[in-house]
Amino acid sequence: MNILSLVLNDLKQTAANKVTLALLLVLPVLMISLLGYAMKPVFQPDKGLKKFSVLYTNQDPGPVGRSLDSFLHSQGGNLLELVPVDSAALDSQVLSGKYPVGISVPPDLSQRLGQGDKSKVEVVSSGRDQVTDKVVRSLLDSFAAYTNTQTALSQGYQNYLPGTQGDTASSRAGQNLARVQSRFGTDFVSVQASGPALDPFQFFAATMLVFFLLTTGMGVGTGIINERTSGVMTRINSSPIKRSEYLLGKILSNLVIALVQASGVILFTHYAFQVNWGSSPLSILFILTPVIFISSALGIIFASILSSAKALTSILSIVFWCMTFVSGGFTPVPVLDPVARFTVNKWAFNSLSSLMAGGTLSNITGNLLALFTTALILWLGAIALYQRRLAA
Amino acid sequence: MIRLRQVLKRYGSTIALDNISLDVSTGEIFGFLGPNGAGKSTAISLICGLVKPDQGEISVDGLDIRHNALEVKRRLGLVPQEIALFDNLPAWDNVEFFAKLAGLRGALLKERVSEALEFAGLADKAKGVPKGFSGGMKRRLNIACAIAHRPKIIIMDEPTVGIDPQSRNHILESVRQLNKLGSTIIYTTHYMEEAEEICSRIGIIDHGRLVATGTKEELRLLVNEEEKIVIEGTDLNFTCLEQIKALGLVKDARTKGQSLEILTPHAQTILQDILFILQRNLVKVRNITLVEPDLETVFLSLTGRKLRD
Repeated sequence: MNILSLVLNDLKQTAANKVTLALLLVLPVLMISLLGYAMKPVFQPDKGLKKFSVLYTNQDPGPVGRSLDSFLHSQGGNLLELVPVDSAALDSQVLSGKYPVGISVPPDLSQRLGQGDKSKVEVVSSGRDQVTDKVVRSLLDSFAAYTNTQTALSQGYQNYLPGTQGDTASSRAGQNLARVQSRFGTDFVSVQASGPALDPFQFFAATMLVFFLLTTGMGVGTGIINERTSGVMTRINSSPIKRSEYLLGKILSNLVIALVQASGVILFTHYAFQVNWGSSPLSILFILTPVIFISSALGIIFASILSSAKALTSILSIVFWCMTFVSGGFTPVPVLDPVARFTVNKWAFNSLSSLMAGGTLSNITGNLLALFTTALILWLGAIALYQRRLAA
Repeated sequence: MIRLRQVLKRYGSTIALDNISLDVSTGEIFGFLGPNGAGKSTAISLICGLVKPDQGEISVDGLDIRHNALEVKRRLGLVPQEIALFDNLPAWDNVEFFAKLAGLRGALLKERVSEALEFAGLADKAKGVPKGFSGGMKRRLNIACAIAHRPKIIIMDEPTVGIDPQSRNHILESVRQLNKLGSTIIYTTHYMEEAEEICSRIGIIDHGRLVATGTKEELRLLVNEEEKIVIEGTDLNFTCLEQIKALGLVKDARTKGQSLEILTPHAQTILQDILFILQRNLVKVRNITLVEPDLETVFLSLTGRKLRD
């Protein structure tokens, strides 16, 4: 019953402080919304890149010309915006600086290649935009390599195909190319390390949830320091309650506050941004519980070491911001990946994102083990330091 | 009721309490009198089980505190020196919380909380929050939080620090009433007047040692042979004070406003010499009084320093 009284009293205090309450509930969803919208382009690289406008004239009606046309529109479609132009005007338009690069396909390209002669696609560049220049050259090099390889293969197969002698070289090449293509297919397999890609709101919902749950530990720490300096702790300790009951009261009240905050974040992001949190609320609870225990333990440890609530808030803020930053919580790319792997944020985020991608508890046992072990170690340290401080 | 035997408490290399032995009987108002840092709060912390002694035995109501800490705490109500309240919770919630910790529940809880607020003169402020209260009201609420569960022993650690005379009188009257209602009270203060006014017995504590214990009369008897000469005059100066201090039979001499206070066992013998020094230093004497030793004098005599040094 004493524990219940302690928990209710802590909750009453939190509820009485309207500013704190508002920050607890509003700040996480505000951060998720802001970061989600601000970082959207990073999660959608194709839409984020500005296309290069390139002048394009293709006078070759033959197979190579058509093939190049198709290649540039399909492979280069994400990068290039092909602006059709009359071949006579291409040079002058590039020189005028309106377009940095132009591609000119000569009318006899297919014919010359078919006859075994050399022919070249012309890239007209002003040299002013090195990036566009290199992208165009790279695409054309790819096409050339592909075409040359196919040609070489078709020629190489001639000796193995009966009944082709006497045909012209170009028709043989065409037949062989068709045979080779029909036999040699390619399957595209998507390989992603962490399941389907997250959208920015899913990503920040998970990282910010972990971040804000960690910060609830500051409430535990400042509460203990304030109660110690105001004499309230002396009065509580002179009451017939055990020290363990006091600490348990603190962590349980923090658990309730943190779970209310987490529920708010989960519900808001689900309805506002369609964030999919997976199908198992119990699994989410399994992830959040050790995170909350870790945050409480850190609050108690720093409250036992420090004498000022302001100092505790400053230090723990720095710790939590750094951990979140290093783990890549503010950006989709971890800043220091080897270090990030050892942060609470990363373990919790990986677990949550796994559930979001349809994973189950069995997929996150490693991360959960790391979280629960860390919580246990920190709690042992917290109890030892708290006892030492009381005895001093 | 409360018994301390050879109790020693160290904080690092500092001895906070040095082999203190003490008995407080049921129904007493026992005062710990001593300057700041004398060891009063440490003694209270030990009795409340907040810290453990390095040596010695403490028992409360016949229970050894080492083995029955929770049972002892059930019998205690502590009024800490600080205003130990939740500033943003209503007065009612503050009292109710500590009463709950003491084990009260249900209708009895409500009845006792109401009673405690009534006793502290805060019944009409039950819904008010302490951060909006005056210093005196906070002090009274501080007491209400300690008495709602009707403890056998109430321990008050300097409950009147920093408040106006009216609130102070209210608190002192409250202490007497609580005592009449059957509580044994331990009261620490460095205000001599308070100790004289309400305590039935007083323990003088200095540098962690219990220098003397007894009733006011018993303590005065300890320095009965000493007298205090109070000389009112103008142009009192440092040179004159030093010359008086240098006289062989003077135990202590101090200035207090326009007065000179001299403690000596032989007032009649030495008065002539004092007047000669004053005359030599051109001090105009207006009045000379011989006063009975008070607790301040007792403390000065026993410790060689004033209570508020």
